[in-house]
Amino acid sequence: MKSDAQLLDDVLGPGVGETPEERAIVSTRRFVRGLDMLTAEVSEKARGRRLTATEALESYGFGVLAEVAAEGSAIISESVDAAGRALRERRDRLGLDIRAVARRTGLAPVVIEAIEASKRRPIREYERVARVLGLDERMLSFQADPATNERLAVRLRLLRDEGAGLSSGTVATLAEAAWVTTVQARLQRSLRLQSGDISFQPLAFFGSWDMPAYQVGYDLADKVRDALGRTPDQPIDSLRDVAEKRLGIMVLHAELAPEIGGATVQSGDGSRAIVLNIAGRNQNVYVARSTLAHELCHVLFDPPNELRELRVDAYAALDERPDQVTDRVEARANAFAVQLLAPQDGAVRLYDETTEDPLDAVLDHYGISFTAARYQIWNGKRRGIDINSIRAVRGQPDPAWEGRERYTASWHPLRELGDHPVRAGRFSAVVLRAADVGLISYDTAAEYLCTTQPALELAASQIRELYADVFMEAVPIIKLVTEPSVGQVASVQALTVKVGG
Amino acid sequence: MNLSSFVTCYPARLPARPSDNPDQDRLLTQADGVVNLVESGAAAALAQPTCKPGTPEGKALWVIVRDGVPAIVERAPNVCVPLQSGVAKHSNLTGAGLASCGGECWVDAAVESRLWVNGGSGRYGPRTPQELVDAVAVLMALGYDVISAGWSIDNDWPERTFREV
Repeated sequence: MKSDAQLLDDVLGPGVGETPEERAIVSTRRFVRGLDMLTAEVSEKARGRRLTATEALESYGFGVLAEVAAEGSAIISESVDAAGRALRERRDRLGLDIRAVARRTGLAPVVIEAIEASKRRPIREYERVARVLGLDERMLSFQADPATNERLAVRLRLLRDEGAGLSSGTVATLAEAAWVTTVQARLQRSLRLQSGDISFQPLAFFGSWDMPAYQVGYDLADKVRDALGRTPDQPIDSLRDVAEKRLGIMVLHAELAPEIGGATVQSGDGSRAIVLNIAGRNQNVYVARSTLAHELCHVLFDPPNELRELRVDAYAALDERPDQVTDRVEARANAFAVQLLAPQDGAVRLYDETTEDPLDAVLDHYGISFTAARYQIWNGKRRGIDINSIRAVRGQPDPAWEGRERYTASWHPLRELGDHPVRAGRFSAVVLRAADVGLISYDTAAEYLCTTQPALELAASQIRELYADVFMEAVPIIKLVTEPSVGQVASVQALTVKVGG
Repeated sequence: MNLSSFVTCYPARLPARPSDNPDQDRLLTQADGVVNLVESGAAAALAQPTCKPGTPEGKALWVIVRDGVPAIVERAPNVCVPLQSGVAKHSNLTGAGLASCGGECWVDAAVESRLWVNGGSGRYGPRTPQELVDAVAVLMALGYDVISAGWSIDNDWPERTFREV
């Protein structure tokens, strides 16, 4: 009978650590995942998914890895038809047809049909379909029902068939956004990346007879600005930064139907993200900031029963006057948005002090949409002036705002992400960081980022510069200092790894 | 390809992996339920009422050696002395000695001449797609109707489950 230490050596190679998890993170062993089998990486010809030891362990467990060590391979498929069935059922739940999935994946419809029939096809094709449908591709075929958020699928279907009339493209994009949210949250947790330093409790109060919903929104916005240490005169330079770094809320950019401003989406593990439409009126960065602020209110303060798995907001609803919106949840969020970006006191003061084009000054100083700014000034002046006299002269936003807010959604070192903006944000940096420390392989990272390993290597230094904070934060990881020679136990020490820092 | 040309083309080799315990190196014999697929009707002894190719249900192990194709039901119900591992290993078919190739098989109880075959053996498995094709040809030359699991392009390893292509 082998001792635990011997077994760890056999399965993960020599190294330090008494548990499989500790040993896996320092292991140089690599595994290859096919649709049915996990094998040790012994052949360069294998075209399946390369996995690090940690990735394989986390996905399939130590027993499977031990079988690979003992037998050379381990069957990981739960049943022959599990993968195809899960994908077909998910597609049905989302209400997508085969051609829509084919378009999103770049695979031929006949290939999608073969995959849904669980025919022998490369694992990478199966994975691609899973990601587009928002499923955990690692669990495909391994579990009959890969971990996923079924309620999200049902809600997307409902929004497609009834309420919002979402198009196939939008449904698929939001499903993919849920997948991105799940992966990013999982990797951030494993990397122990700080997810914000400010948090708030949801508030199920949307106003009453003596306190209108918009007033509640103003108060909540003031609370957030206080926590951020911003005075009424100070603009929020990058709301995306505030959301991601201070409030720990993921912000994704995606191309949705032109009438949609934004959405909040919940992944299977409960993480939430804001999805900002890069099409439609959000192309104006001031509008995009207002949309983001509106969605922030939902994510920060709406109770779960209001947020549900998915909330989609049309531009039309975002644009209404806070005091005239009948939906109190939306009224609160609209008021929150305008007050967060341009507090009334500060905005009115600036308007009054500026002699030439005062509303333009407010727009450019606070980076807020014309409609929101106009109502803010009008309300701030107790509606004592004609609203039509509050006019903007310049049409275009100050370009400096564009870079701060859109960031890598406008330009990313990986050109391929131009077609997949939902993966082009902080997600790309978190994925690269996870590969740098061995949580996932560079093969997986490249696949997540829709690129090749050589292209990712070329872009890596720029991604590290763009999201320096992701790479600067210390992650306590036990790491080999020297590679072990044959028959010799490596010299090791616990240290704090700072990749690129 | 027949048996003799196969063993010439693919010289016998020792197990690629060490055994977990010495009992896995014990040579099992006809008395333990080992059959030689070279002999007519031998596969019938491997047929199981609940046979599900690609699963543990009804699985048998085979190897190609110089003078035959010994095989045994993995759960080895007829073994004289119980196996320490609870199941037979390919090394039990060779006494941890030489074999040219090995894998797993299932015999369809309804059609005893039909073999569902893969190259699933960590110790003697085929190392190339051609070696698997040739091993299957040996079994076909012996008169079996063989269904092969094929070769995994993903893993560059013998497939162990059966799927429609």
